[in-house]
Amino acid sequence: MSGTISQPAESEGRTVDGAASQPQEITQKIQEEARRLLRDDKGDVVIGYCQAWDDEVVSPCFVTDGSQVGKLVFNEYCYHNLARYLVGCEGYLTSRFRTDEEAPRVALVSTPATLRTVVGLIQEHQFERDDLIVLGIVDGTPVGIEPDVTVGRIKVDRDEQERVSAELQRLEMMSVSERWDWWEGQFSKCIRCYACRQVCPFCYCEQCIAEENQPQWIDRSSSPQNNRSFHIIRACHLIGRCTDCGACDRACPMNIPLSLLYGKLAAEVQRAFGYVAGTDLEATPALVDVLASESGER
Amino acid sequence: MIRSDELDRGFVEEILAEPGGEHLLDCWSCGTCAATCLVRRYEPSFNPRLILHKAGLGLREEVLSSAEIWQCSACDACYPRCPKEIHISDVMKAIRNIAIREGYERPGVTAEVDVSTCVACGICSAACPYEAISLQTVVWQRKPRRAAQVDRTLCVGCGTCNSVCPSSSISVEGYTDLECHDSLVDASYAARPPAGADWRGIGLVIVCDWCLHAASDVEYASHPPEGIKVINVSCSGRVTPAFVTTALQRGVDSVLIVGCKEDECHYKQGSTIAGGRMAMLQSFLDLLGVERGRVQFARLGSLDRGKFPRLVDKMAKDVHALASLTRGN
Repeated sequence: MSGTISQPAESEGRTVDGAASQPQEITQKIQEEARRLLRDDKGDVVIGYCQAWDDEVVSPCFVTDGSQVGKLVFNEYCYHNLARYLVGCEGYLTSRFRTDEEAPRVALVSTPATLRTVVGLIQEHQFERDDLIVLGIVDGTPVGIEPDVTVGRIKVDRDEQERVSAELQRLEMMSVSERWDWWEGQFSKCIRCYACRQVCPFCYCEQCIAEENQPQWIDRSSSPQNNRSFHIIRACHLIGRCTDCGACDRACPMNIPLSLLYGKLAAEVQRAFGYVAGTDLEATPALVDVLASESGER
Repeated sequence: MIRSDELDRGFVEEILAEPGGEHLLDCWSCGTCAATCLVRRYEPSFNPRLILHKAGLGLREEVLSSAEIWQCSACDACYPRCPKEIHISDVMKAIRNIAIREGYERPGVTAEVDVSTCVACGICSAACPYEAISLQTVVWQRKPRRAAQVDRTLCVGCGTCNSVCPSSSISVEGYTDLECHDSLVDASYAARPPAGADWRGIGLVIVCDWCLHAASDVEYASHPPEGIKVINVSCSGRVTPAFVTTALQRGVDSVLIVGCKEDECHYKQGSTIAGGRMAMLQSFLDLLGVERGRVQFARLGSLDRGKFPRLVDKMAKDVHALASLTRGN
């Protein structure tokens, strides 16, 4: 779920490994809260997860009616970043299109990565903290925001973190030309479906540089060079913003290990600026350039 | 001819009362500021000494209506050299404030926002060295919508906003994405060896408008060695990673970005931004198997006369070795 960001030592103590809630308890708590919000007319829609066609598949679920609350679930397969539904042209909360009167009151079931994303989106003025009711699931890692209701505690997914950092280490052991060849193999698989972009909560621009043709920074056709340019430029647009939720990695139909790119960038940002995206609500929008200008001499 | 009965003592008092304008009358008119001024290379009519002198005399109309008061970019190259320690850019700002109050407008180009694509993320406003950008509610297609808006009286057109904008919605005429892209592509093709040439390897130098201080350096930039092309940008902070990928994809073997020293940046923090961005890009490209030598960032200070030709000569030498490593990028 999360990349190579090493957590500060003090958070280790707060990690609630022993106190992790059971999925059933979390499900129950989410349903309880959703029912209360809809019944008391405190919220218009609850965004959460519901069971899909298979035990191991969940899909996003938008509950607007108290009778549907029973559909909401939470289990280990609920890793999608639901913050995606808050922003963009059709986002529930995108503040640039709506006036305050017509704003829906949204409650969002948020995993720790989603919480960090929410922080990033508030930093980028997409909505205000008070516009959103956060039903948070925490794992003890810093998230920069206090959930309105903490509906559960889960364990930090260390396996995934270790897998990414081991893979990065393996890559860095290679020679430069071996690395080039390895990535050439990865990028030649890309079919430019832009699933990585569509699923990313920070890719909320209506006009994407990948589809711009005046000027055409990135050629549209799928070739290893063009794909490489696309992934470099997309990654550079997300430096210091990406919260490493891993959504792009899972969405990629061609299994390109995108979390390596974003994990590497997150690690670099932390090394250079001591900054972990989504852990500080007060920080300015955190594109690396802004960080550079604020920290002065590097 | 200046007639003493046309001098407006009230104007002088007004400047002195304006924050930043307190030291107006300290000026000796020695001209050290004009001698160090970087703007003068591009705007020969700009002379800070003359502006301060005219303002000190009380030539209200002449000072407030002149285009020159808007040309200072507050790089403060003159400030440490002024023997009377006058913060000249602050005086200039005080005069501008009076001009704005009296309804004068800044001439020349400033950043423009495309409201139809702006996503109101506020990244440009955080990056702007002059705090000229704010998020405001505007009417677009008869509906209210939030978008970045530029204060024309504060913007100096450095283009830093353009380089950080994720949706390419803000640009400065002269250095828009389209213009930069075209000059990059043209230079990349123009640098290629002619048929039958006995050399390989081409390099692209992207140089900030303000960092070449000596006339010999400027001359050298217009006649670089074979296989090297030099293009200009308003500030090294204007260079985005897309510039680099575009050049590399067009067959350029090595890209050198040249900016000012950090405390000498003409636009306050443009070169700091460029430094952070390029360091990040280098280590990222390194992971992707692009040699570090292919993207380089260098800084030139006002005392580094002659360093630019040395940098480019070295690049011209290295680029031939890099060319043999090219793997179809």
